[in-house]
Amino acid sequence: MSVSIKLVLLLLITVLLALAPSFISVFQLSLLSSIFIWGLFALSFDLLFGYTGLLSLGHSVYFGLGAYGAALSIKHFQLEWWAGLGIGLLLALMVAALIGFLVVRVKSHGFIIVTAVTSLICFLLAQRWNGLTGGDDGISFSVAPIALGSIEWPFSSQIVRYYFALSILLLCFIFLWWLTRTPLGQAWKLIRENEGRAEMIGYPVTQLKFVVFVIAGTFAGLAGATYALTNRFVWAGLFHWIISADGIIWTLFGGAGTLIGALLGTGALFSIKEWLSEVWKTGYPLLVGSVLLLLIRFAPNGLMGLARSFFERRGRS
Amino acid sequence: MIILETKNLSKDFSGLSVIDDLNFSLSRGEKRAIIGPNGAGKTTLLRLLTGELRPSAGDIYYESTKISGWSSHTIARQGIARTFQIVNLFLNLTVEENIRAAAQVNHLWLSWSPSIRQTTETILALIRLDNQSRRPVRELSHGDQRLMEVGVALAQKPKLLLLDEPTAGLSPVETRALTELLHQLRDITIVIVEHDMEVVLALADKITVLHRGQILAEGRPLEIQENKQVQEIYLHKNSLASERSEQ
Repeated sequence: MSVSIKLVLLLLITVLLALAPSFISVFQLSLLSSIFIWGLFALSFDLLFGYTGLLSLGHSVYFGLGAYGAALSIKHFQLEWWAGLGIGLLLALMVAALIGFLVVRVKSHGFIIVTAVTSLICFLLAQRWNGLTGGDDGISFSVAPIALGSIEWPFSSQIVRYYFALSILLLCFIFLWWLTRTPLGQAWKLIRENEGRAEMIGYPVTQLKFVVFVIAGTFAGLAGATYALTNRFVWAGLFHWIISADGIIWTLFGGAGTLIGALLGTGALFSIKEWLSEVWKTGYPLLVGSVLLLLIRFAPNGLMGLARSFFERRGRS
Repeated sequence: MIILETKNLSKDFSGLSVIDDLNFSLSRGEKRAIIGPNGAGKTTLLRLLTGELRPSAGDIYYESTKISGWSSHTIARQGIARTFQIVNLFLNLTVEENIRAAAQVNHLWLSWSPSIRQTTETILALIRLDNQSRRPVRELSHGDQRLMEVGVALAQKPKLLLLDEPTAGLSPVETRALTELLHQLRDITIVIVEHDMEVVLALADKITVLHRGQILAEGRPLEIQENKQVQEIYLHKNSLASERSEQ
């Protein structure tokens, strides 16, 4: 598919999503808002895993930090939404830089284990530090409305939350799409394909891994801060490694290393989960798992892989 | 003028000496072949020169700067490129992407440098793979993948090119094509580790014979061919091996 067709498609989808509140229910709007936020988290994970081949189980740390950074700064210092968002993002960036500096030197299985440990430590800390984080019960807070002159958009409105999450996702998607097409983005792909050869050609592999780790962590933090603002509630479970595992599943389901696949995967799995939970209330995780197994068995490159082979077959015939 | 020099270079693995107090130097622009029996330390020497291995003792100087202990990517950025005995490329990426990756390495990180396209096209034409530029490298024949190895190394615009058995597994026609290609590279200093004596004699200005990590002999091709010790240790064995493989 050519770049211009992709752009037209992206524009059409954007227009459709912008008009969606006029023809879908409040529940569906809420579901889509969740997909946008977790989709942004999956996008940031795709940068790390799909593009660079770094399988991190500690990506939830930055989502949790972004969420808590925004929540605590707004709750305790009565900051505006944008300041809370900025603090959440900065906190995730700084911790990603600190942890990234230590973990990017660790290779293959060691990297997975070390990152899982960072997530476990942060989760246990957040769970035990009840006074600050609210532990498993979490903390709720209120956010001042988005104000533009005399017009105010309160976060209590589902439509405001919908457009807020959609705008952040779109901006981030465009930026990350551009980033992955720069020489820097291509260098990450080289690391995924053949780390040793990339180093021998002259690419500073460790530094490049550090850069992608920090960028991915920052965007996960932004997703976390957006989650906090739209839910006005955060809890210790946001740091749990199981959230990183969700990121892996969404990315693989949609197709790793494509960005759009991470979004598709998140959207598809959220929708399938909703639908199957209506079909079989108690046993729906079993059904979701079966769908996942089937896709991995028959389409290891995810939904994007399926789409690609469909277009290739059509092109040949 | 000396471009590369090793001083008392040694490398041992768990007490087993592979490179032993080696003093080796290379003049700018020369084409040097390194030959020797299996286990002589030829590939280990290349790995030391490119920073893949750290010396146990001694130093390496490149353009009068000590580079021993430097990382591989820093050494590569100084202008030393290497090909591998076993094909080592980005197999899932296309021919063009492989060459472009090597050509881009010294340029800006957030925008494609305009000269990159030209360099990529020149290299693709040189290795005669311009008509296959969109194919993933894994779909190429072994011979073409070997050419790609050289292409990727050339795209780095090296001053010193280290070739580790570039003709291994090639047919006579492919070997001839590769030899011709290497002949065209006039401004680059080349070190070639090679078992095929025809290729060595066709390319090398000078030959170094390694044996047990030390220099057994060094000189012009004719001198090496006539050297009794070399004939005994390497050339005789090598010709026997070629005869056996021909049978």
